[in-house]
Amino acid sequence: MPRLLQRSFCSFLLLASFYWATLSAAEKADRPIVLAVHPYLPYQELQKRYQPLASYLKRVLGTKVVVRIGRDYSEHIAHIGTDRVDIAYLGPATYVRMVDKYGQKPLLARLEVGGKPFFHGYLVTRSGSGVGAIENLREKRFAFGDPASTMSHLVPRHMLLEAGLDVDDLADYQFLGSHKNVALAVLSGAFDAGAVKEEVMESFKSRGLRSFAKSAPYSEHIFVARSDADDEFVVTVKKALFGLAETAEGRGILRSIKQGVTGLVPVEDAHYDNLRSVLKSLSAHGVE
Amino acid sequence: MLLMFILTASTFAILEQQRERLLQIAIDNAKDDIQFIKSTLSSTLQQNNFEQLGGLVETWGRHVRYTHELKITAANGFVLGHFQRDTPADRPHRLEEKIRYSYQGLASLVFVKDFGSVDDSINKLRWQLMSGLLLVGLVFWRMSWLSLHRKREAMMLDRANHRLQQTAEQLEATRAYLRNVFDSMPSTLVAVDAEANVTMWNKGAEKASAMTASEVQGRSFSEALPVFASRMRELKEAIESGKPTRIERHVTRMDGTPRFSEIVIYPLSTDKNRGAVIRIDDVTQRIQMEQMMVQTEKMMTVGGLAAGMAHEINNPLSGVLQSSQNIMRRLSSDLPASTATAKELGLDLAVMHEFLERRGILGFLEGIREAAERAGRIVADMLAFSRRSTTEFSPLSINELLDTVVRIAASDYDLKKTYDFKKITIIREYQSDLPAVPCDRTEIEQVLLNLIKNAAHAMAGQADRTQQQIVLRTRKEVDWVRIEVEDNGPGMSEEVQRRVFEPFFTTKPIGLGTGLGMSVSYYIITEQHKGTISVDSMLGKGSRFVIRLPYR
Ligand SMILES: Nc1ncnc2c1ncn2[C@@H]1O[C@H](COP(=O)(O)OP(=O)(O)OP(=O)(O)O)[C@@H](O)[C@H]1O
Ligand SMILES: [Mg+2]
Repeated sequence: MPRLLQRSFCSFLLLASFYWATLSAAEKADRPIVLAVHPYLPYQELQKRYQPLASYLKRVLGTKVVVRIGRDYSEHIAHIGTDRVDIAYLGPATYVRMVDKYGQKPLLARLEVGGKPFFHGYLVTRSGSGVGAIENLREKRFAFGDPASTMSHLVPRHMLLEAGLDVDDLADYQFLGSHKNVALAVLSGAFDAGAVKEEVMESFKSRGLRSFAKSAPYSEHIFVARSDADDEFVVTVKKALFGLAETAEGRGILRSIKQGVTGLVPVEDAHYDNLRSVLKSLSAHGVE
Repeated sequence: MLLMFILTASTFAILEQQRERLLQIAIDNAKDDIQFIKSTLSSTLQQNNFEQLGGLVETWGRHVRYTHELKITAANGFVLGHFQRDTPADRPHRLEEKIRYSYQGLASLVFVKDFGSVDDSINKLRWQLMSGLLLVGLVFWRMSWLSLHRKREAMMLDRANHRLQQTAEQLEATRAYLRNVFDSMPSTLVAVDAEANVTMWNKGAEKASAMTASEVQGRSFSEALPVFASRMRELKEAIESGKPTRIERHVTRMDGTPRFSEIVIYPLSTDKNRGAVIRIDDVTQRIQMEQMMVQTEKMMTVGGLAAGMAHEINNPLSGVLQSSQNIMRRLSSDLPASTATAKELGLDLAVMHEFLERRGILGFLEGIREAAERAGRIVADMLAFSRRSTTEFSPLSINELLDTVVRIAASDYDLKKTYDFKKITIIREYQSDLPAVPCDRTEIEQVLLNLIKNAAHAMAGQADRTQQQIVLRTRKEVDWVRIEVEDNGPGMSEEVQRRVFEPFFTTKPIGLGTGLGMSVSYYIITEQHKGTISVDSMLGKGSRFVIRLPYR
């Protein structure tokens, strides 16, 4: 009986504190700067990753900076599109779509990973599967990641189309969510091939994953500001972001966002032109 | 002794038999387990959720005791998930299953359970039985069966407990249990977070507010229980400071009748997060009882006062009022008797009127009438003293209060006529720079009046050999103001001193004392004003009552 009571009390505390933890999230206090991030990882994880950047910006700007994780991609786009957040972090495809729908925003910086501000997508298979080139994919089972993902769906889908293959030519195709899940599905033999980004391809190499096609380079993730942000704000934030790579502390902040990030570098809208035309041609094939 | 030996031997035989049965149970359990694992993993696989698979295997392995190894391998040999304990297994038992998944046929599932625990339990049991046997022989023999039975049950329970699914159920049950505890309290219980938004709401709260838990979840406390909205400040403060707070009487009005609630706020705080549990009880009945007691006593005190009033003030007052009205009437020319008298004396009434008017005499007369009427109203208001007073504290000077009470006592009919209050010397030993004490004027007046009356009553019964005196003393202490009322009357025996604050304790003849005076005073000082009251007395010397009231 006392044990049960004790346990109930513990779980009560747990429940209570869990509830409060979810509540203590940033809400508007005295108009803090809102840094919006798209929900590509669990909420807590994203908070953890972007908190160092937020505190850094707070120090630079002298205003409280809160990290806001969007509920889903479309909500995230709508929020930055309608200028309800001050700074937003966007994937390349998300950025192109946002500009398409809501117009140009002041650009701040783009990600530089391993010294490169662009990245590639890979078509992968397991060694010994008999798939050696895109052409071999006919009547094979293919795994995509998220339908909205640049490197696990949009770019590889375009690569297939370029090679004259539509999804109807495949034996089967499915969206498996994450890049990692695609890799595991291919390795376990559930699918013959799949599409993943570079870092996932690298991390599964040792377990037998092999790439047979590499995409063109596409510009990395991007930070934009709200359209009514004043010049001074944009200049200050840009300078702060560019400066990160120069100090040990700054490099720590970058690594916190993602292992391998080496800097935040200047960006132009034109960097996304190739992706823009990919999206356009996909859209002509009915892929949105 | 021989019997003992036989018993011991047979018990061990039974134990060996039981070991086989326990093992069989463990094997059955393991079979159940692998079926459960299989169904979980296969539905995960069917959803192509390969990423989660590894995590599930890991979780099961880490949390389910006696799992030695758990491994799932794809048809092509690719290992999708693997858990293996570092320590070697004492008694490994291996089970295998196949899981069907998309396209490639079958994945294989290997589950190795360590049955070392069976030996452990048998050994433990054996030890228990042995010591038990030495102690209670036969009785224990019966009990050992029970214990064995329980052991078996415990083992099954143990396994059940450690299944993931059942852990979830248990958590649910615990939650339900907590919910039950929470709900079965008759009080209104509300848990709030740091922002005072409702996180839990029991049945009592549902009853009190006619709102269900789901309706108020996440809403602000003041919104959920608007009648207590005025206590938001206290709530916020309690959460902020982490100090439990008690609001003894919160008054709400429901269709006009006042209801009293006691509110207790227990702040909760974990590392970062704050909040509170609020308990609200309806104490209307208790408060009404208390008030009734005070009321009864007040009626007694005021009864004496009111009688004095009627005699001392009302009679002369009505004399003044009537006389002034008569003067006005007789000065006017409408009265035949006045005109006749004027004619007889050769007085021109119009001239006299003019004179009275010019000298402002009529105005003075009107003033007298008005003043008398006002005094009459004040007398009527005095009767409001017997009405219930709302407990509003304002800082007051105790020295002034004592003087007022002495004045009231002097005009008390009973004291004046029966106890010859004038004969008593009042000695004031006031401290001049006494801090003001937040208190309820009428209540403190009532207490002091009770003390002075009791002193006067006590001294009245004495032979006149010494000068009767009451000393009124005030002193400032660290946090308190001390008030002493001391008399040189007959004093009290130990027994009377012990019982003086007891309700209905009196040494006076029936009809003269109700024995409520000191008990109500005690209540007013300790409960209403958070002060203390004590008595100090010696037979034949006198009594001293000491009151301490907090002034900050
Ligand atoms: N100053 C005092 N000296 C001696 N005895 C006292 C004194 N004050 C109180 N007592 C004793 O304490 C008893 C209780 O006092 P309390 O005021 O409660 O009731 P009471 O005076 O008897 O009746 P009531 O005040 O209700 O008319 C008294 O009857 C009396 O015996
Ligand atoms: Mg009395």
